[in-house]
Formats: sequence, C-alpha cells, structure tokens
Amino acid sequence: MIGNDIVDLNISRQESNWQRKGWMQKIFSAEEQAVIYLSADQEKMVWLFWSMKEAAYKIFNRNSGKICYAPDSLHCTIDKISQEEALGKVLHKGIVYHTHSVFETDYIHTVAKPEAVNDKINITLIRKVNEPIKLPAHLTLNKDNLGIPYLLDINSGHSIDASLSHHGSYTALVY
Amino acid sequence: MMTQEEIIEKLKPILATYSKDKEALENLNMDSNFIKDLKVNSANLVDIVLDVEEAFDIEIDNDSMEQMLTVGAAIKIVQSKLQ
Repeated sequence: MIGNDIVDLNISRQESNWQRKGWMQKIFSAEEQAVIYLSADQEKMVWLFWSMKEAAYKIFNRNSGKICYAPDSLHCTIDKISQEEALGKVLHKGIVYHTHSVFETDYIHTVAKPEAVNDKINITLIRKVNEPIKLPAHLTLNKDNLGIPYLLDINSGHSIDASLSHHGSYTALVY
Repeated sequence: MMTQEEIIEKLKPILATYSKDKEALENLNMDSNFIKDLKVNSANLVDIVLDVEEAFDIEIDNDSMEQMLTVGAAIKIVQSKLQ
C-alpha cells in the first residue's frame, strides 16, 4: 500500500490562506502548530504537514473504503529535514505511516507507506498536467471499480500498487 | 428554527467561492459531494467549515467536520448546532 500527495505552491498561495483565523486549529495539533510557528519557513511547514497527512490518509481511505475528513486525527512528526527533503511519520488510529517528502521551488511532494520508506525503492513520476506520464513500455496505468489506480505489468500479468495525486499544474504517480 | 431551504440559500454562496464545477453548483442537491461533485480542493474544506461557522454563528467541532462532506450532511450539522 502506498499513498502520495502533491501541493502546487503557486495554487496553494492563490487558493488557501493558511494564516486565516482558525484555519490551523482545524487541521493541526498543538504540537504541529508549535513546530510551524517556530519554523523559519512557516509556509513550507504548513504544506509539508498537510501533504504528509493527505498521503497517509489516502492509504487509510483505500484500506477502509471509508471517506471522511479528519486532518486533526493524523499526527505528524519529523525525523529529519533538510532544504531538499524531509523524513517523517504520521500516526493515525494506532498505525504509523512513514513519509518521505521532497521540496521543490514550485511544489512539495510526499510519499507515505505503512512500512519504513527505505524498505523498497519506489518510483515517482511528476509531470505538468498537460504532459503525458512516461511509463516504461511494459507498464500500463489502470483503475479498478473503486477508481483506485494500479499498474499492470503486461509481461508478467502482475498488478502493481500505485498512487496518483493531482494539484494545480502537477500530477504525481508513485509505484 | 431555520428551514432547510433557508440553510441551503446561505450555503450556496459559500460553496460557490470554492467550487470548481459551476454546473454541479447549479444542480446542487442533498447528495452533492464537496470534493467529488463540486470539485472543492481538500485544503478549502476547512475554509468552508470556517465560513459556515461565521455565517450561522455556530461552532463546528472536529467530529462534525469529519462528516461535513455533502450538502445534506452540512445541513444536518447546522441544524443540530442551531438547536
């Protein structure tokens, strides 16, 4: 199982005012808010935590088939952070999801997995919405009856777990 | 007590601010899903909750927010808080 989320920072700047009164309190725990307030780049921390929650939540929604919206029930911690990337964990209903996030000028992208992110190397393809995703020739992207994406390996006939996300100008596929 | 219609009339302009699907907005019904039908960006769901709190002068707790994903659910929550 895998989940991913991309935040197009040009769009988040246009469409979301994270400084709006009450906004952070609805989404982030007191601990997360403290980390954000103490950060030199608060905007980056807001969207880092947001993308971690969304990426982890996608796995939960998929497993439970349940759709609800409770960003405050997911608790983020950061293990390691640099200018380029962050490793962290999201705790949700007793399950730990491991996250790996990448910071680019125009977007933040997070991959979440129920096991340590390094256990298996995943492939991430990020493109602008109007460009096609370039998959290897033996893989095709499909969706099941529930609309959940997966890749089919035409050589072996095996299906491969995949996660798609869109925001603004970006689409990200992880498998 | 506000009627369902009165609540919908107050909800409409709020949803219009964040919906990217104007046709779905025209055809608003109880089952209209904020994300799937109205194509609201998930980060803006919080703005809808905050706008609804302001418009109706109520406080929406996180348990209610979890459920507030359709027009019908939003009406139910507003009605229960107004009681």
